[in-house]
Amino acid sequence: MAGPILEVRNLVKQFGGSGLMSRARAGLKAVDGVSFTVTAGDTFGLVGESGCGKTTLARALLYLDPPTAGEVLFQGTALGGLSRAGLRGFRRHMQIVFQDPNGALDPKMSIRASLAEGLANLGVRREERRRRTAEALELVGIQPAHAERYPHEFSGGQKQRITIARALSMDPRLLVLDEPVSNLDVSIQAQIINLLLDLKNRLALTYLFISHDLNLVAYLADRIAVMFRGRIVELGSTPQILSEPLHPYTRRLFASVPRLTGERIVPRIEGDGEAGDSSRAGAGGCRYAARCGRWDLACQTNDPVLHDAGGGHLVACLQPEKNDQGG
Amino acid sequence: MAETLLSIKDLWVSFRGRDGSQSRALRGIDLDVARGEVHSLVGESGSGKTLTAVCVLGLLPVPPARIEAGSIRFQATELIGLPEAERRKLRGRRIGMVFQEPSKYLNPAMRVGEQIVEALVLHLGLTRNEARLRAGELLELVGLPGGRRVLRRYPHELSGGMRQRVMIAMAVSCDPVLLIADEPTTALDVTLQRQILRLLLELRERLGMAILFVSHDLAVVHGISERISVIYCGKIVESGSRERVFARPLHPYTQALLASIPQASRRGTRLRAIPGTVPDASHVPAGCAFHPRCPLAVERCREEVPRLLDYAGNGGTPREAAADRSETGETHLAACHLVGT
Repeated sequence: MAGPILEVRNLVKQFGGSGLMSRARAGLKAVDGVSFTVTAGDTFGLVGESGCGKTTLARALLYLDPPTAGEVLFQGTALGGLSRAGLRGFRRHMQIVFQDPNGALDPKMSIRASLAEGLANLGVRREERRRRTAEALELVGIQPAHAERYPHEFSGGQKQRITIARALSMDPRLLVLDEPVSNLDVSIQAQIINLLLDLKNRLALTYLFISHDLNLVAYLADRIAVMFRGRIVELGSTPQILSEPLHPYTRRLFASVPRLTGERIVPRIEGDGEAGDSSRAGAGGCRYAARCGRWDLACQTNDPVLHDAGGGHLVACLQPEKNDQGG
Repeated sequence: MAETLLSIKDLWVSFRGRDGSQSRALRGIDLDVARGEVHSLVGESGSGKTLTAVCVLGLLPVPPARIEAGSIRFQATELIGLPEAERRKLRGRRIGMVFQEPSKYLNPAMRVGEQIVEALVLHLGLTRNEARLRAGELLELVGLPGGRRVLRRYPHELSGGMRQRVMIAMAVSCDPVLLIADEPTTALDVTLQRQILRLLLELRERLGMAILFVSHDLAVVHGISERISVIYCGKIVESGSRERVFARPLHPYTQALLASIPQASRRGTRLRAIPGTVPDASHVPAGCAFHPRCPLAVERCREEVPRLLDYAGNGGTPREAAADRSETGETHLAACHLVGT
């Protein structure tokens, strides 16, 4: 069995906390004690709604925005203890692809220049840079002959292929994919997803796949972590999460996701309340308490920790759902 | 089959570029919305789905756009060529509208209540006091209890879901018979999305209005529609009941779209991707616009534009699409040379 490639331990990312202007947000923990392990060769899916901290987590674990506390081990080495140069050497093995390729590609640089930049920073020589950019472009289905072109000459899907090529040119072991297809049309999404599946096999990559789209994550991932307000509330193998979701929030997500199969949506005026019932939430209690259907008094004062509910299926809930009880 | 509320026939719209180039954004749209139905118009970006809605609302920027041909009948009124004053009376009164990003359409400097009151005074001729009462009722209707407090807030003080509810309240304030909803839940998280969809369906029932729901998301459309029309390159390529289109899609484009959506049940298999990209409106391929991406395309597809024909009849023999769906009952239209071959 393959070992861990990435270990994240009690990661915290806090914003604000000093200065006059930031007082209102002081102590806001966008990521609040997140731990998980990604096995080499797996696709690890991180799913959550906007504002849950998934992108902040991605940036913190890559030390693009260093974490406030906690540890990240990449192939056994703690990234926090590395010098800047040491970190650069490691980071080439852990690349990130963002949602918006327009933000990731400099419009004034040719594709070749964009791809060569990172390699030049690593001290790769010119001839080698040319060879590796051409190889990477070919891998993603862009003709290397088009490398002199500029980003605006490509479609959205092609641009995303190019940002993937740039990540690949660094010879990564781990790719962090942050909503890589969310900006693309349906017919183009499938092309990129198939490309990612192919590349993973060909290059023996590991993926950390971040998305709000539960259908997509369930399709791609070997393991899934569900994130809510800066915490992982449930983590397990994809079959575990799909067939017996334990956390009420996971169940709610599943019930909300539009599907090609299934029933018509039932009309109803009232929402379940975005803010929920705030009287149920206590300072030290569960952060899902206000919206939870299984709330009781204990949830107001006890902050549930992620624990093994059996078979390596982790959940942070005082009264997790049982499969026979329904949602 | 209920009476036809909105009937778009052979609508052609072109845009003139700054360099004088001409692009055909809509190439003969045919679309019927029956009274009370949720009719979804599904397509990718640039397909002309929003543009179709914009034409119905009479908000097409002319120039650079130009309606070249076609007809849009709403109840007994022909909308094309209707004077702007008449258009304005329909819009917001008989026809409501909701968009993807409510913050764009709400005035950020004005309390939510004032905006609703203003619309009610303008469209229904209520006094300000009457309008204020009605505004509170409307907010309750869209699931914002304690509406009075919400009325005093500014748009930025509301969450995204609440803003969309306010937008919907304004859209239905004049009791429209048709609501045009253009990607109204695309910017929302899935849990909120479902709540807004449920609200729209409930309002449809209570107010007896039809909804033209414009979306790129087939899974959403599956959950809410009675009828679905699929648009590609400014032309309807398939139109039928939700049951027919999802169970037996006729057009290769619809089939490919459905096969390209990731689902947990397809784990471990490759998705069936559609090769290539959506063509630009200034370079629409000849013949069937989908032919360069179609796995089944033959010579005829490259040369001859397929007509939208009805395959709902026995044995799948095509017949002319009826001028009025209400006369023929069930129809399943497709524009493809290869259906049934």
